[in-house]
Amino acid sequence: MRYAELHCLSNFSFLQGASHPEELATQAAELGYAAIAITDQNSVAGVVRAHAAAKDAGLKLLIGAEMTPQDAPPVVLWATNRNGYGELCHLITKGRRRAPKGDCQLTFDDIAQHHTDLLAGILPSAHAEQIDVARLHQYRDLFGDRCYLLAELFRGPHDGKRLAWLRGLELQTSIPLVASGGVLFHTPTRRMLHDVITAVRYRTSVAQAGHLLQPNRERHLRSLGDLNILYQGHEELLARTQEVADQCTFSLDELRYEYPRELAPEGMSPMDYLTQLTWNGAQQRFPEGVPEKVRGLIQHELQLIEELQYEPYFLTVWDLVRFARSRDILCQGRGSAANSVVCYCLGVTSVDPSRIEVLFERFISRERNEAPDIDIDFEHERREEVLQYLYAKYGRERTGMTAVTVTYRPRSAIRDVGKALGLSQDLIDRLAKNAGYHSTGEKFPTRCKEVGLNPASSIGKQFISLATELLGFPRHLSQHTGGMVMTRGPLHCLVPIENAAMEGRTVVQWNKDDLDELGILKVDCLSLGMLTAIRKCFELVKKHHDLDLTLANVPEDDTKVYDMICRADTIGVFQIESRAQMSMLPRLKPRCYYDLVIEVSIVRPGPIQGDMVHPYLRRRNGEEPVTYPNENIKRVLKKTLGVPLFQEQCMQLSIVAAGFTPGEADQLRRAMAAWRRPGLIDQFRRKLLAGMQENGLTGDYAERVFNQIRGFGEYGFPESHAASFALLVYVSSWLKCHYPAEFAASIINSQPMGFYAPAQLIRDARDHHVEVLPIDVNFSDWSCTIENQALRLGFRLISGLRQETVETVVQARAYGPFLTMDEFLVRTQLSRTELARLSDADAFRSLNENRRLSFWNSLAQSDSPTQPSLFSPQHFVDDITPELPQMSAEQEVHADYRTTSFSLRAHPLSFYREELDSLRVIPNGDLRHIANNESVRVAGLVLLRQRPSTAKGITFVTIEDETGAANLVVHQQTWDRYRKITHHSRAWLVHGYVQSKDSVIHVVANRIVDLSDKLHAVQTKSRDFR
Amino acid sequence: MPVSEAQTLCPDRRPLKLVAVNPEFDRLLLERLAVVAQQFSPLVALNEAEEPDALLLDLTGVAHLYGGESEWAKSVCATFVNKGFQLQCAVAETVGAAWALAHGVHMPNRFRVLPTGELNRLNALSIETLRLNPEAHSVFRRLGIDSIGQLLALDRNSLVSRVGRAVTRRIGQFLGDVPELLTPYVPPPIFCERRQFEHPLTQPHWIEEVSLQLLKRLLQRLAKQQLGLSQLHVAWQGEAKGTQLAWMIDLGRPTVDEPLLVELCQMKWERAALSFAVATVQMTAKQVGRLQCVRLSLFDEHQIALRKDIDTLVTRLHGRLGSAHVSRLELVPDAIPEHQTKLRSAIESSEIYDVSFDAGMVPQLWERPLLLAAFPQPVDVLRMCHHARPAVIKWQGQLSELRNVWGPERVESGWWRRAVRRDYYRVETHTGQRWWIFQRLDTRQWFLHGEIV
Repeated sequence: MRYAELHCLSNFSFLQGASHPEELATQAAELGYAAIAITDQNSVAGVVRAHAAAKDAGLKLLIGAEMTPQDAPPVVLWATNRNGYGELCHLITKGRRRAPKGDCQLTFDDIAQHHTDLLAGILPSAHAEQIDVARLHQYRDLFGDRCYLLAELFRGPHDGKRLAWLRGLELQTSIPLVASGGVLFHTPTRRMLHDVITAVRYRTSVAQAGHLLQPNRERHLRSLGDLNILYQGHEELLARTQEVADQCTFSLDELRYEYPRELAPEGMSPMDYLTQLTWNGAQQRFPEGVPEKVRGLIQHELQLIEELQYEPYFLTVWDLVRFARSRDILCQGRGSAANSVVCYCLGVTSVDPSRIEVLFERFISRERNEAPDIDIDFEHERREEVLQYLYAKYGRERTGMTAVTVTYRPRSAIRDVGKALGLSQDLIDRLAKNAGYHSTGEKFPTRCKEVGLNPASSIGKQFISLATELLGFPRHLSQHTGGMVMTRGPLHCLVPIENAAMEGRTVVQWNKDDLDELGILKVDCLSLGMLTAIRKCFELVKKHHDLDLTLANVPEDDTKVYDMICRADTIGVFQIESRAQMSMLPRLKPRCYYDLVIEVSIVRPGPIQGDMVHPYLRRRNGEEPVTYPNENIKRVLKKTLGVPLFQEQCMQLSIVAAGFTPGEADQLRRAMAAWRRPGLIDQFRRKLLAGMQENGLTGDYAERVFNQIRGFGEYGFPESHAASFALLVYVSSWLKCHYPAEFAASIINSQPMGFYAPAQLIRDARDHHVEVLPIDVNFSDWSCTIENQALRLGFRLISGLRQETVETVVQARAYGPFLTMDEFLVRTQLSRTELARLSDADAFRSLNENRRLSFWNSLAQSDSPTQPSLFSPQHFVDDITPELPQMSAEQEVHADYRTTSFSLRAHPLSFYREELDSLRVIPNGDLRHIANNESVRVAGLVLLRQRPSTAKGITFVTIEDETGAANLVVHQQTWDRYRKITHHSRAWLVHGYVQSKDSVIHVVANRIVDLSDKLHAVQTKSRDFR
Repeated sequence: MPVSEAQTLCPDRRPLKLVAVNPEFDRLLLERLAVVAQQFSPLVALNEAEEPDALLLDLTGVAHLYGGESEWAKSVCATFVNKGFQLQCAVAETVGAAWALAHGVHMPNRFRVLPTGELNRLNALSIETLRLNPEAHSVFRRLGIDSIGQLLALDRNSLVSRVGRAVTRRIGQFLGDVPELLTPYVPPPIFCERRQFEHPLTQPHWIEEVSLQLLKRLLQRLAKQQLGLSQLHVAWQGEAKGTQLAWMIDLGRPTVDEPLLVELCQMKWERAALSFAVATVQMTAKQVGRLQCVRLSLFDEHQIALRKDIDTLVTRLHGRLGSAHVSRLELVPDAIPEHQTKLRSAIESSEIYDVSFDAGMVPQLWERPLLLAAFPQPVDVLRMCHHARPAVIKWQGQLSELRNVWGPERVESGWWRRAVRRDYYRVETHTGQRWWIFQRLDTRQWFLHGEIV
């Protein structure tokens, strides 16, 4: 008997299907089905995965979707050919675009407009033997003999009667009846999980879900034997499934992506146009004539591009960059192809390819006909303009955003399963908090036990197995941070488009892996805060120093800049400002651009977990000989002294050391990233070790290579991206080194971004002898400005102040400065709350009004600003000056902290210096004079707390006093012992000992004392990172 | 502060002891204390707040009875301390000043008397003790005004436009410029009717007669306030200590239905064995509630009447059997037959009959037996036909040949409490009986679960 399953929901029908599409396809193949249709509700989001799995298993896959028109019975539609598939996508798009995110609204008329190459299977209600026959006729009239009635039997209370009723309908309407399974999960064992997601869907628990749950587990892929028994006497219904499957000849392999047409001007082929642009660009990049070597490279690359037909891709990227440049939006490309000479000439990147030897074709594999990878970073405040340009240029119907499949992570899985099983909210909280973000696996039962759920109890077992099963299930589609898809024809013929949560945004139903699988072009337009800051800094430098800077013309190889970097004086600089990076800088001592590339990639979880940092440093400092097992490996690892630091090197290593093909190497990379399938990694491990053995690499070395590759799988950083980032590192360092005031202003003006809060940036600027002027109604703008080479702080630093308020003040100021408070009130007409904000920030200093007095005056204003009328009082300030107590210096500082989280007057701790001296606490600034291992006491406000997953429970804490910052190392035990302080206090006194190496100083904490009772009024916020 | 955070503050990770907030209890306690305090002043008030937490006593014309304000305050303190309470007690010329003193100075179980005209001695106290609103506090904090003295130094007219009249009123009340009225606390009425006899009664019917009269009076009093009785306590006491007969009659819903109550009372008395002479009869409404009003309409009169009948029945059953013993059956949506019904307290489920399921494959009534066997009873299947369907079964020693077999209906559910996996069949025997039998899918055993009639 041949049977094709025609009606299957995968877990892309969110919270309805309980199996992955690939599981359904594989299981169907195992059961000997002739074909399987994945028919998710109003969606084809899961079909690409099913397609890949079905292809591997040699099973035919039908593409379809289940839809419920508002005015007709639900129906399953299957695509018979490419056109039918387009119709299906169009239909889904129509319904999805009309409805809010996640919903779909369709009518029978919509189906009537797109039905020519679709087959229909009408779904009678599962709950009752009732159907409007007129509606069935409607379907039959529309679809003719392409219409079927689905007979689904689930061992209900009266299957026989139901089948008889369906048979009757078949006779009455002459719509042929066909068997189908209404499948919700691939094996009966998934039934428990299905109950759980049903409970999640209806926000209840399984014990209370009652009739919302399936009464039995029949909705799985049933064996052919079972089906035979079920449909006994009606075997033709089973045979007819084959008939339906035979009519559907469409396969996703037929989808051919076509680049948009308007990339090249009329009458010119894209290749000619690209060639022309490249040579023109080369002329501009090398005004003194293109060097012979570069000329050769360009010719070679262009040839490769032509061969692989990538020219439209390069043109698309070029077009974006051109647009951004025309709008003065700073941007930069990164990724394998971005480091080509062609991209340098096109202006996509400013990294001179002669400075970095990245072989273009190494990353564009001839075997895998895959689109090259170029991500473009834009200023984070202006990326939207670029996206709008794309929408405008290609039209909404040809442009869409890549989806991101948001999947269940340990925490969300624990929460949902816990709720469904009726665990107490308290226990669920503890379980979720105790589970790490990434980790589950073997440790999960132990974790559960720690917080009081016995993993051996029946509820514990159920909970653990269900939560583990739910991991990786898709929850909803979200928009990718910037992946844009553009097509020649309408996009909705290729893939359905739906509304995103954000107003005016649409996403396609596939994520980037799906698009990759089908070879569909996407360009990643990402946003990067540092680009905004650099652009703003360029503008300030131009305004105040008349110097025209671009990413490409910042002077190279400036020793002063590298000296600064080696000193780890890098607060605010792109990438290398984090504590881990800063403690690496004095050890690595970058002296050239390529050192920066290494610096950017080395402080990553990949190299750290693969234990590559120390061997590299040792080799670099000549403490260890640089050796290579063989010549091939030497070629791959030469640049990094035999230690793989980049993702590309690991892939290369698997090729030269274990004999992988480039395609396999790529599969390996993806397998490593798919963290939820541990079995796959083992498979590759065996293969890798076997391959290396053949090349004579065994034992430790082989094992280490595997671990390195595994480390990279999750958090690897490619050289091609590091190369572009390194340029931004250099440019931002250069700006910081030469224009510290402008640099600080632009970073503060681009917040939120980076690692440090404005308070630290301001402090750093002052440490670099920049004069910092306070916020004042007579001098400040919304943003920070440069005033006679000093940094004038802007109103944006005041928390809770609206930009419009500031605009009012600045406009009123255009006629001359304010002389008195009275005048300020008359001219600005600000409301009481706004005035109070300004007075809290002490912004009236130039009017000789202190905080309390100006606040007193602001209180007299009405709370809604009104137009002054004839009858409103003409003056606002009382004649009697009230007797308000003077603020002490310390109170002023505390008030500064409350409004702006920093103070230009003094550090809150400075008021306690004498007291601290008597406790033998040394200022942080003196730490560098303390010898290694000597015990010491320091104190300060907690600026940030960071517990990297790689640090074995160690928390890195930075505290600050009036002389500078101190870096603390707090071991897990200490952290727990002083839990009360470490969790709640923002001001610490620490007893510990100094650990210094290569001018990197840490204080290892032994004892922590709470200082917050002294500094309770200081409201600081620690920036916490994990 | 979340509990988890509070836990971290506990020394040595000892478990935190949690006591739920119970404002109702707090209020009741304070009211009781107010009654106690009435011995010291004719005017005792609770402070005006959503959740009052202080008692205000007017001692105008009282103090001299005790020999002065200090002596008076001393007895107040002693009384409450003896009862095991901690208190802060202050006497001053205005309510505001007394409040400030009582809240601003820590003096557990002692008292302080501020002589008249010496309000300025309170200038150093925090403005927190002035009963200002929270917004005013945040304003004053920002102005650096901490003490009462600093606040009083500010021009009061300028204050009005800046912090509002509520604040200046409080200041005035502190200084005595603005009068402050106290609303005396009056305890709620106790619904209790009682009669004492000089000569104890021995004849049960007299006692009953008296009791019923008292009941009637009680109901009249309640009805005036539109209240109904939901718990009635009847007590007959003899002269000797310990001789008492008492009944609690639980009614579920508030009612003033006199005949019903009489009937219920008499039912209790019927069974009473009176062994002493009754000196006191007392009828107390232990719990009262608002009477429910139902608006009658033209069309659902029948429904309402039906409901009323059921309500009366439930009330009567309650009175006779006690609330723990009256429940009704409710349908529960569940796939497993024996879990499809549940007993619930009759008071809770007031609906007449309302079951609607809208999802799942819901069986029709005719497909299920109306009564299930208390426990599934084992049967033997002696012969099967194709696909493992039963053909001949033996139950209680009797062989039955099956004429018709419908099914199987598969039920697999309940894994979260105890997994059940069964195939149900409706069968018709050669004698015309219709049974509902199932086979356990795990053990393959057969059971009879009910008879379809």
